[in-house]
Amino acid sequence: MNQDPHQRSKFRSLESWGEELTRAVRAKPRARFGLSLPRALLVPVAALALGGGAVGIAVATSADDPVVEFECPAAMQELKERLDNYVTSTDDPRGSFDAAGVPVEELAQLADELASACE
Amino acid sequence: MDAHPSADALRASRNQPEAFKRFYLTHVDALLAYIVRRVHDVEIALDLTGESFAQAYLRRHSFRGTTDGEAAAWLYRIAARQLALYFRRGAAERRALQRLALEAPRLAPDEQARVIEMAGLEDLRSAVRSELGNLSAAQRQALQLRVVDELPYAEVADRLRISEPAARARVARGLKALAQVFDSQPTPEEGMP
Repeated sequence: MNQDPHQRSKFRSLESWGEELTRAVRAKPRARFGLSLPRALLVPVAALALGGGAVGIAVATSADDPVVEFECPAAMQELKERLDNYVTSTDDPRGSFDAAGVPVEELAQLADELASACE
Repeated sequence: MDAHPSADALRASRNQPEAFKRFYLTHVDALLAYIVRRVHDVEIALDLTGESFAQAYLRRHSFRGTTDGEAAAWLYRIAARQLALYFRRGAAERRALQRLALEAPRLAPDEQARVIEMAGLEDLRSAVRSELGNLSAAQRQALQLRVVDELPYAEVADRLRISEPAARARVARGLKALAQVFDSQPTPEEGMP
């Protein structure tokens, strides 16, 4: 069952549809529900969302009013509760980030759970 | 050489959506053949294949396996659920496709003929013909018109004097009854683990 992952479909139509599919998440309209974030959390959440790791999350990148936006209220509520706990559990949330400003493990896990919540 | 390229592509697609295309290309032809052999209708099979991959794409974060066998099993479980819904409702679900604002894939006419050949559909037609006698009269008539005579659904509905959705549902229920026969027919290209 170890097929070559770089193989082409026998059907040109199916191959081009695969291109459409993998572009679809970024192309589809988003941003139905919004949540203001501490600026320190915006960058890592945005990095995850824009990197495609978090289905259902998009980011409005207004410099004055950073907002993370979601497609489903369940995801928004879940993230809000977790971020509330996260921020209140540390004096300075930025102190928990890595050198690039991204608390990778925690936010990757969060994104995963949000994706499930959106299903 | 990567030992589990399909599983690796699926896992990589969590953060690199473009990696999903490798997973898709590995499985799309075999999955389409698998579904065609169960619904005997290329157009419906394309709807179901498209919805299955769209759902797989949206759920790619939930894949927890590491091997190609696990990746294939994960995909075919999604497809099997779509088939079950189709058999029950007589219509393919389109929820994930709609969420991604995508139409189901469509094939050029010459490609359709090749899919039919790849799926061994002609051979299966004789199996269907021989099993029709075990169905109810209504299902037998619907399958005869749609699967054996290959009439469009509109004409099937017209001949049965029922609506087109009712004709589709009747054909789907008949196919469900014959699913065991279809599953007993081997095909060299199926990727079902």
